[in-house]
Amino acid sequence: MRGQAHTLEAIIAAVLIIGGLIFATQATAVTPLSASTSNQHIENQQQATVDGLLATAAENGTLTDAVLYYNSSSGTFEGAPAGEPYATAPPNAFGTALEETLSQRQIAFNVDVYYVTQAGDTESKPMVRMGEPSDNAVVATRAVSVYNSSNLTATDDRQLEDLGGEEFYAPNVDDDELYNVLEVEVTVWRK
Amino acid sequence: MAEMNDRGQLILVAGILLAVLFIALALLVNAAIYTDNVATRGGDSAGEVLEYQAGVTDSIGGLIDAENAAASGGDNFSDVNSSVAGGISEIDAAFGRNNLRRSASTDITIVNTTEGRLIRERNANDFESWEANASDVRRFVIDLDTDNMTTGSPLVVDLDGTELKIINKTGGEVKVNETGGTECTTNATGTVRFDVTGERLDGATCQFGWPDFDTGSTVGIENGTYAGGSYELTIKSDDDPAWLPSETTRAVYSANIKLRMDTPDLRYETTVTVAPGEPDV
Repeated sequence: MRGQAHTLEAIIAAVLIIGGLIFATQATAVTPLSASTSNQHIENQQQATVDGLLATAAENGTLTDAVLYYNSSSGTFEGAPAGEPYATAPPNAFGTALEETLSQRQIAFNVDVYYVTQAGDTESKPMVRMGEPSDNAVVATRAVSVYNSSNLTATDDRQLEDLGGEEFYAPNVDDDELYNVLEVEVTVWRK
Repeated sequence: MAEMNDRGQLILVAGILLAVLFIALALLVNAAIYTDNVATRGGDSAGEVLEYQAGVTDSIGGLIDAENAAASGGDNFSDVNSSVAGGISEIDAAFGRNNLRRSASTDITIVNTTEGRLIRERNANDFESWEANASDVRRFVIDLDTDNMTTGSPLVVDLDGTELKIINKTGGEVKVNETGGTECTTNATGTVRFDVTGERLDGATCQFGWPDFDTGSTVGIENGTYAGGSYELTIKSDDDPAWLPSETTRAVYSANIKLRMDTPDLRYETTVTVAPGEPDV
């Protein structure tokens, strides 16, 4: 009787342990929305994606075109509501790349352009604002310089040196041909 | 009877023990995953440095070209050079501030710059013919105005012995022909772009094989009168601009730049040569 009971107990214990192990293994599965340290994998992937996206855009010149896609009369980027940033990807080649790489995969992003002020400080001009980034957001940056001879790429295609003081968001900070050093910062997170 | 009561107690205790064990196991597995994450977090610490280097070389490359293009015929090399140096110090300051936000310190110093000549003709009805000493050539782009090309007579671009004949054939076809070698054609009319250093004709590849330039090499245009339009190239040379097309100016050919970046993870220091548009040979 006692031997039988002990055998049964051992079997039940074994089943419980195996069940526990299976449960523990299942509980650590990485899903896109699992709010755990497993999100790091997603963050690493997003970091690599957005780094690559910025490097490509800088290489083929679309990043420079995007920061110069500006409408001086409305005080914002061309096609955005007056004084406001875009709510979706910008209507230019850089925007298409953002749309195809991020938006179509349900990844939200904010884009800010940092520039140097005449006092030597750094300020930012928001280009895209999709909301408040989550705790798992990742950030990638890329610097581009603009010169006096750089042309605006929107309907207005004047050179930067022909613009008045307030007509472009970044001021002219150099006596010679350099106009400003801009830094594009893209913040991405999963919606 | 007493035996049965003992057994119930035993099962209860064993059950609690098992429950504690499972919780401990779940915590252990979680801790293992967390440790793995922390250990591999931000695995690509070189990415930040490479992004910085790419940003600096692009910015300085653009600066050199902008200063060269803005120089006038009377400017000395030292005038252009000091404008470039002024711009580089602004770029250094801006990069320094931006990277400080990410707790990295950076520094850019100019090791040296190389003297060159920016040779160009813009909207010419016919090009001048010339030859210059050049130990290197970068960003050589010709925008051919096909309406101003003499049909059947070739413009010749001489790259240290490699002769490229550019001819407008009847029927609106532009052909580039390396003597005894590659032949490329395009059907475009109007303005046709021949990117000589990029080896591209009207956007399509035209691999004639860019020659190695060295001390004593020459570059030039022959039979310039047979073609018109615009072209631009920067050569490493100290020839007198008076011998070259009238728009030629003294320019900075390249700059050797020493970069340094200190991040919490690593210290990076390198010297790069910035010569935008130089062919990879």
